[in-house]
Amino acid sequence: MSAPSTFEEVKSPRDTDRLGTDRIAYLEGLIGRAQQAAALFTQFTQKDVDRVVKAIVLAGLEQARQLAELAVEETRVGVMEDKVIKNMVATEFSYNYVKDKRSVGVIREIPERNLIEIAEPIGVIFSLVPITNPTSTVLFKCIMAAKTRNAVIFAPHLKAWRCGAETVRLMYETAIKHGAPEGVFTCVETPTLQDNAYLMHHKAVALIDATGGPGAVKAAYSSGKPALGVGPGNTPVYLEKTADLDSAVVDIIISKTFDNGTICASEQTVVIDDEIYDEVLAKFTELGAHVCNEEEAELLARTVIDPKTGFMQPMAVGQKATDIARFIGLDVKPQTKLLIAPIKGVGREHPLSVEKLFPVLAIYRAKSVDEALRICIDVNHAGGLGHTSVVFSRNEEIIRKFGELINTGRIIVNSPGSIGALGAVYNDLVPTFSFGCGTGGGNSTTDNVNMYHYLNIKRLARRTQNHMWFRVPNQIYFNMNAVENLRQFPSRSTVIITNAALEQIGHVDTVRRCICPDASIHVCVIPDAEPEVKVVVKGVEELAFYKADQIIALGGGSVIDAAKIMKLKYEAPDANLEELAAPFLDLRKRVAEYPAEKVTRARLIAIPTTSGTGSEVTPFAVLTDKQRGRKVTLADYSLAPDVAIIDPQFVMSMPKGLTADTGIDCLTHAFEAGVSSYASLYTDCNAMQALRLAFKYLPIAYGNPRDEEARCMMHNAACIAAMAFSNASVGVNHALAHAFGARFHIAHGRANALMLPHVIAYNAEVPAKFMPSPYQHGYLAHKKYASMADLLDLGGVTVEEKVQNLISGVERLLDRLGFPRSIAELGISKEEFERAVPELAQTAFEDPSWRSNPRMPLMNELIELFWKAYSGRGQKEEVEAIDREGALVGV
Amino acid sequence: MNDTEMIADLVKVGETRITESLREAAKDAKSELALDFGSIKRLDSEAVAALRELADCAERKNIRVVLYSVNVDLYKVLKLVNLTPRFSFVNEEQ
Repeated sequence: MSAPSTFEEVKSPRDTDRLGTDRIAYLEGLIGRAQQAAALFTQFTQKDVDRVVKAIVLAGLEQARQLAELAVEETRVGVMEDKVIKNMVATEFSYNYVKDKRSVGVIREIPERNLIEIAEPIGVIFSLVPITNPTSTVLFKCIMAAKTRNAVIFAPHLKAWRCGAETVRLMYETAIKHGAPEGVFTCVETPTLQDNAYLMHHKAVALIDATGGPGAVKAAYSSGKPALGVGPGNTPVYLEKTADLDSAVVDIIISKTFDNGTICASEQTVVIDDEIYDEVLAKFTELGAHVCNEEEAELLARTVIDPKTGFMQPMAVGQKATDIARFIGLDVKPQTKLLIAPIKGVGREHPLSVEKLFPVLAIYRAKSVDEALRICIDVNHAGGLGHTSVVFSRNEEIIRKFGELINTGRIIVNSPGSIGALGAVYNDLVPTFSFGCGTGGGNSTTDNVNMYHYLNIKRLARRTQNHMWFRVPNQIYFNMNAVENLRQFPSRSTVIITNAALEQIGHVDTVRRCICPDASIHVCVIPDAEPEVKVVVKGVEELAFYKADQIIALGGGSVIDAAKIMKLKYEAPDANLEELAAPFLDLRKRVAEYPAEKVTRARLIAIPTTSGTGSEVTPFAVLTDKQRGRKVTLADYSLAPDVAIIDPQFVMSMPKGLTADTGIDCLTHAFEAGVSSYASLYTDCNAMQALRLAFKYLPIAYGNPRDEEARCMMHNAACIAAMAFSNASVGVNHALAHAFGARFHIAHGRANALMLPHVIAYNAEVPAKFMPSPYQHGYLAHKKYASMADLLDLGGVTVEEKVQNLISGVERLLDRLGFPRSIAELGISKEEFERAVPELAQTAFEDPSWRSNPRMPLMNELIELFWKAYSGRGQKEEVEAIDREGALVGV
Repeated sequence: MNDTEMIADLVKVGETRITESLREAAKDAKSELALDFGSIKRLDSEAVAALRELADCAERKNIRVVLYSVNVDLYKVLKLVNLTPRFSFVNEEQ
């Protein structure tokens, strides 16, 4: 609450220099007792605390009148009867709010978020008490402190010290009688500015709760201590023409005359619509207000506002309207409750537009809603930021607009400002005697200060079992002639997206024969290369032209990727690919949103003609933007084909080199998904199966391309590995291969092969830096590699041996597939590579693939891995010798 | 300190007479004082004052005071009133 304050001059700790040793000893004694009380209070149970709280509430209620009388007698501020109400609100209403709330130990459990909130008392609170509400403020703060197991040292305003101290005594004695620790509430005897400064800066004081004038609040915040500084207000009121005028006028009078206007949330300037202005004034007059003429208003302004400071005169605070009128020589009726002074603007030239904690109300006649709102904003900014505002209206739009425009913590609607802001009487605001004014008022909160502000709330955050997923197309047909399954899908217009070579060798005709007979079939031939923007644009045009309801992607990864993007743009033409390709860390939390609303819908059936990329089931697609010289990766489960047909007849004629390249891509997918930080039981089984199949059948398919079983198994392996990495993602091997392949134009599988043994060794070490991974418990990569070695029957006893055997097994497989075993073997000179390495490392680091790698790659580690791949292993002859003897383990 | 000595010197602090127990113990203490707090569930301001006195007295006489089986709630209270540096603490397991 705002009031002239004895604390306003407290500016710096230097003020404490003037304290004598005796006074310091006295203050230290207070602090020591409070500190001990706070410590002992920590032992109290909720039941102990609630017993004390109820007792002090009852004591306060019982003494409400006596304390009110004492306050008025001492301060000469306010109305005794209203102060009784204040004391009762401070006790009864506060109790009603706190009584069933937990404030000790666990105060809230949020099982759905795995969170538990635990209350920790603050300790010693130093509390300033204003002249305007000395007894009610003490009652309120004692209840809050007892409920939260804190000790409070009170420093009441000097002119309200006796009543403040008496209230503290009453609360303290009652609390002690009911078991509270000694020293729990104390009151500084005749506090001085130096005392306050000393206490504010004392290390044992944990929180300052400064309810007072701007000086007190500023001093509290300047102390460097956590503070609840609750300062002045200047409440604008908009009385809009649709309001219930009878109700509004009475409410304003109730509020502005309550305790002679000492509550800082009370109305200060009422802005009245032109249409109702005269009627409103008539009602005010009828109910006991005196509306000043221009001359009277000027006289009033000169008297109650200090012309030097522009603030209200302290002597007017909490005085009756008739007394103020008499003082300035106004002739008013004896029963006058309120003095109303019309003003023509806001600011220093209009003195009555500031806060007036007495029954003087400024009014303004507004010609329009806009003008009314502008004046309210001006009043709000003339000392009332963050505090309280009031609007009377039946127009919901205007009420909301007012709420948006006016910066106050409390926006009271169709009810009295002062009592409304106190909470729990006219609305459901939390009852308080301290109004947080937000940053606008230099405060840390806009809340009605309550028990929770007297607590440190600790949050016990348990590790969450994050939801994981396993998403793949819901229809996958596999094995020889699986393409026959196409017949079951009805279509009127089917577009086959493929490349020229596949059309030439008859694959398109094979597919065409299996499409349902009702469909008109169109073939869209695209280049056999990573899809470019212009290719996608052309494809989308064809889909639209033929009104396709079914898209069949027949080809390798590039063709299927192209079809995915074409489908996306066909179904949602406004989709912005650039935006959809924005980087992300977690698929579920990413910024880009894939279109949910589709203009049209088409089924996408993917028929792969290579055994490696797995694009037929993945949610990924790569697009090349040649104009901008960059590639973008799109990732969303909506991109995944609806149906995948894994028919090995389409890979029987794959050349050896392509078999090896795509096969190693499949193997790398399995390895990386297997150790990924996103790996799950669901992806592990796929990764392991794919690994087993690829290790066994890849060399056979490579050595004997017409081996139908080997082709079939490798085709399945590629799809199964893709099911794993679609959900677990890949790792640093792919990041390195992407960077290296793009820079030196090396096929993806071949680039993967160059990195693979080194990456396994790298991931199996104790990481220099662990990757944060909520899905994994402990570091598992080396153990998972060991399990893979077991599955492949590679031998070894210890984890280290098994990992080593796995690396050797991979090396032998790569040798058998005829891969170059070092970057050097590709004919790239050391000098050229050395020049490229910094950029390669940077590109690899920026690649999203490694985000699911079990080990977080550091830049220097990426460089090291590139150099290892450059040098290679150098054991080729030895392995070839073993291979000739037919002893290639696990194959 | 071996087990026998520890048991011999261990003074049990009574639940109902904490202050008196502490004062008596302080009076008789010579070189080391071992106090068993196993039965103490809660401290009040008198007990804290007595502990402070005991710490003052022990410092004057150069006596080491070891508190046994202080439960963690009491330990937190002693921490908050800055008494923990003035005593040694031993748990039951130790």
